[in-house]
Amino acid sequence: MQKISLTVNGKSVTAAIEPATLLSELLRDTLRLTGTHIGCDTSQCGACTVHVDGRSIKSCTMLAVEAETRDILTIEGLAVGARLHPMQQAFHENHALQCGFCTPGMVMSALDLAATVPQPSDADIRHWLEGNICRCTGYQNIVKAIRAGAAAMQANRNGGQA
Amino acid sequence: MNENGIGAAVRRKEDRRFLMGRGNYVHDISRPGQVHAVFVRSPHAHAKLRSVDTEAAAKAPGVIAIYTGADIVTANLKGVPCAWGIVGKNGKPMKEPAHPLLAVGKVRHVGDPVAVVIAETPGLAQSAGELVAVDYEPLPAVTGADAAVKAGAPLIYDDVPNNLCCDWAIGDKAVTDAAFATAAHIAKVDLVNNRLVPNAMETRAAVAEYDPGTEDYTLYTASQLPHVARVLIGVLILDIPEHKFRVVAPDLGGGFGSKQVVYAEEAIVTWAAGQLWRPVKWVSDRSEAFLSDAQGRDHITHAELALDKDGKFVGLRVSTFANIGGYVSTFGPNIPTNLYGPLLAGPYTTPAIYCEVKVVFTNTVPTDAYRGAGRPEATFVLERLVDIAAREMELDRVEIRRRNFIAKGVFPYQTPVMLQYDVGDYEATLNRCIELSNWHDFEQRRRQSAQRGKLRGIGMTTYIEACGLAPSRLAQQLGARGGLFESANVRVNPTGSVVVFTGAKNHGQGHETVFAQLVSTMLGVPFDKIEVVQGDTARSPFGLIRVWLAGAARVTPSLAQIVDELAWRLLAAGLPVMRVTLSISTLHPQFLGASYVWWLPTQRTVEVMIGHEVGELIPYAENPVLRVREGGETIRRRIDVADDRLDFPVLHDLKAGGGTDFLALPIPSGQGRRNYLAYVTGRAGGFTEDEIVSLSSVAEPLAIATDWYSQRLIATNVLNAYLGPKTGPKVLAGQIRRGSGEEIAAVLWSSDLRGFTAFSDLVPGTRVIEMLDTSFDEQAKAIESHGGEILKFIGDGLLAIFPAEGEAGAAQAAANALAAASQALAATRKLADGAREPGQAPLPMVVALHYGTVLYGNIGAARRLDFTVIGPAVNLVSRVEAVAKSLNQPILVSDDFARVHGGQLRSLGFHQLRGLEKPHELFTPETPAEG
Repeated sequence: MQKISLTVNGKSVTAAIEPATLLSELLRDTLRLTGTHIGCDTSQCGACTVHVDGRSIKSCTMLAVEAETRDILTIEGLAVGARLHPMQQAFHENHALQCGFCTPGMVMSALDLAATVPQPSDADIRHWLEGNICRCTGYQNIVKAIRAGAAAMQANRNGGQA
Repeated sequence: MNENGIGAAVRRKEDRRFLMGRGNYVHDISRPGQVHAVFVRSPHAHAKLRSVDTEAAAKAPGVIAIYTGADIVTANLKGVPCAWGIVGKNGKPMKEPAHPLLAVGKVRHVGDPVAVVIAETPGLAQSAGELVAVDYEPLPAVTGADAAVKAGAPLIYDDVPNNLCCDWAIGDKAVTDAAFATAAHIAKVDLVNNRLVPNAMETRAAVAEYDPGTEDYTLYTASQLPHVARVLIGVLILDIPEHKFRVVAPDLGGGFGSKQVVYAEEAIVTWAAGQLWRPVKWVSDRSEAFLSDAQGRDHITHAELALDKDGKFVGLRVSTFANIGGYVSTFGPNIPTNLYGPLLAGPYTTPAIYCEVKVVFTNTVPTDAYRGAGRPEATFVLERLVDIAAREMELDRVEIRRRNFIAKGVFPYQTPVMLQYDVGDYEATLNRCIELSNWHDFEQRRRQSAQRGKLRGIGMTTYIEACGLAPSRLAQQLGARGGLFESANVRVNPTGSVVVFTGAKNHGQGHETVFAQLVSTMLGVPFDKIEVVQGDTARSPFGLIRVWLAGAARVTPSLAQIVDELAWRLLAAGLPVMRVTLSISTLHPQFLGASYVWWLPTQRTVEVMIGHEVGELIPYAENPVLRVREGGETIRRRIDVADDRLDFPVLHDLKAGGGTDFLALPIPSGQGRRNYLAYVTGRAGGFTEDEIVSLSSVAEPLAIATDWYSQRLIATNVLNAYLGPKTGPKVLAGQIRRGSGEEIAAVLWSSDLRGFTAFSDLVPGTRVIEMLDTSFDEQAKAIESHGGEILKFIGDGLLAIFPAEGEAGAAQAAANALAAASQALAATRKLADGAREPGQAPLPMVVALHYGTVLYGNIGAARRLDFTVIGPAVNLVSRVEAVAKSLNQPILVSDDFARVHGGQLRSLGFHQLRGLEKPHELFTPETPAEG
């Protein structure tokens, strides 16, 4: 067993794990943060996407021990109380989810895009989503939602400066 | 109006939890003390299993149990059942070889499960699984459906020649061939509709637990059809009765059909949980999903469309090889047959269609429902042919479709392939589609693309969907082995919020939102006060019987039909009833009640009216109906015993009819009354205790339906008894407000007894009533048999009408009334002749008849009404009656009556009627009724 310390959704966490434990397993099984989903276990579907130090990664292909001292953000860490994050709200407004299984990965991935490209074009969004598979929606509304979510985040930032 | 109701674009209720990472999928469920299952699967498409050695694996760290096919055989677990069998040409049923939970003797596809390893963690189970040593003897394999039926192909099952599960066909071959023989053009196509893997984002998963105290099982499973899983896995595979098995399908990460199939893995973890007394969890990994989830499509088809010179379709011939894989899956054989052939008519008037499907076993993963399941395959075949025909005949793609559409005005339209379409307007849909797609501007867009070096295409297809395979009776004719129906309960909480429990399971469609919208609109309850609960067999209704009784049964037109349907549903649920009797009290003046008796040998339900005298004929102690209805007893008697032990006379009859066991129980009814429900079985050994529980559980929901009917019957009977059979239904139908009346023309009857006052002074009161009853009985018989309606009895008098419509109706009513009067007089006279002493005989009577217009309706005080007639005509007839007495004329009719009657009447001259200005000429029938 190996002891690791890290930050998850703003809280310090210490856990004793098998060295082979994946970050996704640490989150889901040890910390019971089951919002991060496992769709393929081979880094293809993107349902397990979380942020490590602000960048999106697929948690099924990162060892938990690699997350030592790092700052992890999962889907559970986005909303403030009952208030959805603008990107979550945009998914809700644009009917960008059906069964909801890919959604946490989609949202986490979209947030990284919005941070990287503040005003993403549809082409930017589609290219960015290469690593996230949705089996229900056909992506149209996901693209729409991400565009709206990114715009809302941008407006919030501008509003904050004003 | 409702801003969030039907049609409103609301935001989905389920979104929040999914967006916040708070969904609850089976992957996310962990039960205390749970262990993990991993399956060892065949790497061969086809192989003999020489041995499965689990010794090394069993010693691996963390291993709790390993089971193989041998253990399944020892435990006597049934195979994976098929829920929908099919019948091929000449009524030959499909081949349905056993599908063991774990391979026995042979593996039939890559991924066929051979063993299951259960260990403390998934990793330990995985590692141990790699130590299971399976000695395979690979066999030649065949994977294509067309290759599999060829002579010499490897046989998947020794006893299924040519690997042919079923040689199925629909349509009329001779008629279709004849259409082809005279066709102007024949378009042909060869198509491969490739196999695919459904691949829901959430892989299949199951967590099962067992409570050794209550012996209850719970299975959390990623299932689109948790209720079906409960029956198939619980009852049919593991022999766990439904009430001891709860299936919970929480949030589902997509299904696409593959999660409506019942699989071996879920059954095995359930069984293992019962063996190990620890929760067992299995989560399929993605690679495993490719090897074990039911797959879709896989057809090889040759099809031909015959057309006349104008491009009208005259015949369609389709021949398909459908690959159903290594085993018969839950709905597998049904998909490429019943859900395929009947859809081949599409929206077209093709008069002759013949389709044959060879349903074939191969060494591949079984196929089953996938997105549309059979119907897109049919559409693909048909629409490819239409496009090819258009191109070959140089017709426009749109035009050829228009020419062949079923016209809007000809619905309902019967296709040559079983289905009847109720309604459609394909022309309008096509026009809208052309408009929305800018179809006519396409060539311009194509040219623009070509200028940029790009290729641009456009396609068009029609699609007819057959959703909701119902009603159950039809589905069963097509081979469905259970009813297909859906149900819901809507529960209103004390503070006004509403919970909707549905048997339907959402897997991405948004049921929580849509059902809440429906209920919001229907009940007027705010959308956000409505919660939808689904997917838990312990919470949501299956509806097989109990829910039907509480819901649909009440729209069943009669109690006889309810009993009929109940009996069939009980049989379908496996309860061996031979006779079902429902007996209700009806508060009828002549009848104690009505019985509805369903009897299996006749397959019919008959209605029997029980006279009041029956209660007197069979003493209480020997009368189960009285003891149940009046004493509230539940009576159970075995009938397969010596005659002297049968303590009710009826049991002798039932025994003679082959009965072995009898159960009678009370059904609660309003106002402290009870109705009676009885079952008889003819099965040797009678009902089991579990069956008694199930049969008894029907009483309460049946009470709802029965009560509704019996209250209605009572109301009808009481109203008919007091108001008459014409007026009673009017009042019951809601004509109960003062002033609600109508003017009608009618012959009025007023009759009275002569010498009544003197008679009633001389004889005791009961004798008076007896005499009156006798007289009224005879008058009522005569009046009602001639289309008259008794309005009221006033002392010894009687007022009745014979409604008349139009002039011809008036003549008829007059003739009827006169005939009734003669009959009543003759009958009372006959009684008088037969009477042995004075005072027994009815008093002589007089009848006055008049024709006029009266106001017929509710008259009276606001809260106490009489449904009767008023008007001058009513006065007149009673005056005529007074004259009849004074003239000693048994029948006296007015001038207005004589006019409409038109027949031979003898005038008795003009008479001054009391209270009336002018004298009236009065008549009597030519032949005096009193001789």
